Amino acid sequence: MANQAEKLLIQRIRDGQEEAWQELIGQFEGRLFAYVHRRIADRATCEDIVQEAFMGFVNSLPNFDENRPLESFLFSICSNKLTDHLRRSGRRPTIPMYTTEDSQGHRSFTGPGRAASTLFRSQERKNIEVAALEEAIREQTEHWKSTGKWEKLKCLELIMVAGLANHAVADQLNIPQTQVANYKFEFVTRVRDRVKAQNISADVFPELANQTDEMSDA
Amino acid sequence: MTYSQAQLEAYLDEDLDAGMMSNIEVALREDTQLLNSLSTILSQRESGVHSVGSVWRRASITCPSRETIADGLLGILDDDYKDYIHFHINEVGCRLCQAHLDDLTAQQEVNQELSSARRKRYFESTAGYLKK
Repeated sequence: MANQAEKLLIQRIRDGQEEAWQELIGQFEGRLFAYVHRRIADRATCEDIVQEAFMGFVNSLPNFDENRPLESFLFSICSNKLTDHLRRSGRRPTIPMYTTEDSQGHRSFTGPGRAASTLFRSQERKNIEVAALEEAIREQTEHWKSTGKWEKLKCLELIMVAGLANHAVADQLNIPQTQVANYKFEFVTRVRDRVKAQNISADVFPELANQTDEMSDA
Repeated sequence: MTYSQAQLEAYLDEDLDAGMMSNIEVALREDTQLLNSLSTILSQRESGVHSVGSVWRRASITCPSRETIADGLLGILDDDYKDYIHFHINEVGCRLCQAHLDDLTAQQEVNQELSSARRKRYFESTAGYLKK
């Protein structure tokens, strides 16, 4: 959620105060430039992309959701502008979706990995699911931070965020693979139980549903 | 090279470490299976499947604050937390925190240049008053 200072800044920008807009640019341009510059060497191009991101922000200001942190919103716009640029320059291919239409013209997205047609739900419902998962992960990771369980935190971050396999995580952290599997089991169990307690099906989170398979990998 | 589902999810979100992003972009020019895997993920997302990694990254759940990253640059964090931040930025490859670190480092360098210029100016304007 945008903090109080951010909400005030947004309000001033909405009121058309130029110094507020200048303040926002001053606050965020450096980090947005750095984000783009990791992907694009040419500084002038990076500056153009950041400028487009600020333009995008101005255009989307009437719809800005104050429940969302300002920085996260700006980074997501910048990320989209960067992706657009990479597509236009031919670096990043467009990814098609698997779609089929039934006789009534209803579209369904049926990738080979999952029969997903039963999963269509309202956006509101999806937001509730994401919020529940986010809260469950946050609770677990905050607990590890506050109790100094850094190895567990690193382990799960490498698996879930960096996407490494158990054996690669074991090598990187210099711990046995069984230990990695145990940490993962503990995390998945707790997060899944937490999510289920809010009457949300674990089916919409495949990584939480496939725990038994994952354990047998270790 | 094969990529995990979580890595491909991060690629789609432009959240993967820049080096790996480039590697995937190059691979996609010839690897239709990789393209199909990404298509599948997009389709799954469209149908409402969530991934733990995407939610974790999007909400910046384990990202240190910008102030904490700055404290790390100043060397005033305890060793365990400093080590974790280094891990989060360099080994997990968090793009958002990398951006903060790059920006803060650049600011620090500019400050050092300004500070160095100031020191030189102070010295040059006052050295003449020293006792010979």
